[in-house]
Amino acid sequence: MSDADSLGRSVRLSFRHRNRLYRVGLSASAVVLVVLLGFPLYWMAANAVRTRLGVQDGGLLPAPDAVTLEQFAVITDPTVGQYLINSTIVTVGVVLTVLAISLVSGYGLARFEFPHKIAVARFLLLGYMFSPIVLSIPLYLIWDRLGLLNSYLGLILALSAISMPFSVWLMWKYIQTIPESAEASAWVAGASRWRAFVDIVIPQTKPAMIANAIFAFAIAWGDFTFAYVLMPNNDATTFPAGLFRLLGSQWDASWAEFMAMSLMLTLPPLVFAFFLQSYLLQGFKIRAL
Amino acid sequence: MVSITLDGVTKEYGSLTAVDDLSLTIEDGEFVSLVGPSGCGKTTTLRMVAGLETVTNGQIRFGDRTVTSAPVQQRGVALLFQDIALYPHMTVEENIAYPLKLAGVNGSDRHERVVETASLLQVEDQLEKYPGDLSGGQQQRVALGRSIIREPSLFLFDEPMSDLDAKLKHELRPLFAEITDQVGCPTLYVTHDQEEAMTMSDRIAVMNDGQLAQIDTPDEVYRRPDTQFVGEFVGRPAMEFFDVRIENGANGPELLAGENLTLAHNGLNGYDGDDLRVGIRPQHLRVTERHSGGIPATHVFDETLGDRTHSLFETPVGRVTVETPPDFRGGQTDYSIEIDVEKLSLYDPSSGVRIG
Repeated sequence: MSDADSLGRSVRLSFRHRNRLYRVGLSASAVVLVVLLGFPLYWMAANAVRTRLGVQDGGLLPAPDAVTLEQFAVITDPTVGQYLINSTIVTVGVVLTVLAISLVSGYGLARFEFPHKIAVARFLLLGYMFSPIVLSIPLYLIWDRLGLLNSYLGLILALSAISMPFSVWLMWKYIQTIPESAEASAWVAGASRWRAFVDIVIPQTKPAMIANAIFAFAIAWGDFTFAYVLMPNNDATTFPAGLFRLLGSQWDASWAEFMAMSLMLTLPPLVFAFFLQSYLLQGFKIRAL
Repeated sequence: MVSITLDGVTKEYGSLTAVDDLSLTIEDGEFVSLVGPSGCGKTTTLRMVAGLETVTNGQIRFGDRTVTSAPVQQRGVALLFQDIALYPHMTVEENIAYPLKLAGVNGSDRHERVVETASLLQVEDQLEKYPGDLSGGQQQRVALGRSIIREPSLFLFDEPMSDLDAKLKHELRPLFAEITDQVGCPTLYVTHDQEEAMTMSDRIAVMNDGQLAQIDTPDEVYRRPDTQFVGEFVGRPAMEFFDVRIENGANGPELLAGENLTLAHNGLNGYDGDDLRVGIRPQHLRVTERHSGGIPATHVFDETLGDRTHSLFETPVGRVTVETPPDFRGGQTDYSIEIDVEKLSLYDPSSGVRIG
């Protein structure tokens, strides 16, 4: 220390102080982030468990006698229940479609050479340049012709197409990291190309599959625009678009019930992402993506 | 079990010829090494034999059966890859059993044969583990087990030891030799390491630029390299080459190297006045005190190897390495180098082909 002082470095903060400052700064920014992102979530949750009267009180913490779970009974409402079923079917359909297509096309891009391969792959990304509403209006006209309006298949196709570019790229880059010799040794042992793909390649793409599944889940579960435009019938619509309809309708629902529905809409992706985050990070860690 | 024949096999990638008119027969039970520098076409040749690469021209036969265009799945070969290529998501047992599973062998028979193979390779107590938990040597053994479990018609090795350290190589070499001997089928072993080829093979096939430069027993390839390339590639330190001229002297043809050296050599009648390239192993050169007969040489550098020394000398015919006794230290002074004329190999200086 005395050496450092004599060299005129005393104006600088010592390492210990710098370290402390750094940690204070880190914690402060974390607090700001948590408050900004977390408070709306908290507000939603806090109001979802209040009675109607409790909501009107509006305190930060609900009064003990105003706490109730009765708002979640809204799920038994046939309309809301139908929204939830629709959302679940569409989301599962999108996740499965995205997984199947990204595996096959990622494998094709990784293992086969064909003319303009890179150009084709880049063209896929073009879809991200347009906002959903720009895409959904022409899609409405096309789906109308094809009779896909109000059908699960129609919405699954549209949402899968939106998640596809990212998923295919991720899978392509991930399969490139799996040595071809592992497959070749299966061929030598007598496995067909398809068999080796199923037995050797697919199990090794688990982190990429999980990353793709989460991504597709988030897009499908949270989608509003496509569901609103492509599923005009009230019976066919999904949760987010349905919630919006209820808000604008004459339906007699309280804020507490809306908060309860929003919470039910928010929880699955949170749980999904929380338990699979390590896989998600692995999927994103691939270089050259 | 059958012999393997390559008949005029050629592989072209566009205008590039990777393998050029290669003919080669591996007898039943024979161990042949395909050795050469990187890019010489040896791995392409192996991949064509395995069926992982198409053949542009020529034929590949397993016994009487022509397999030139048969898919890889139908050739029944065993192939050991450079990167081992175990399946990381399967246990050791599942890895070894996979070829049997493909063949439709039922579970209990599979287990029996896996245990049998694993004990042969001393990995029977690793069966529950995953490949990632094994050492490099154990991984090689498991990969070997997986490739032999289905009784192959041909054994192929694609530089399986090139990523391993020297100690492990020494441990695995006898194992590979022993296992291929037990399996008893023809073996084609591709490597860029001439020492590996020399120590393990019945015959060595040296490849250069897509062509077969020489195929013979290790001993013969070492003692009588067919081309200058083979002489430089096989044997360490590499064979030394220098240009000489032949003149008819009083006692028949003589080789003139530089100004000071005259060597009598028989069997060169008819080459009077021609230029020639001679090759000699550093083991067949001898360092003496400076005198008028040998090649005048100035010592440059010693490589001490313990059991011998490789000494580099500057001479009128270029820099020459000589194998000297273990305690030889040159001290940058002047010497003469004597040549064992009997051991000279003579080559055509333009084509590099052996003439005597």
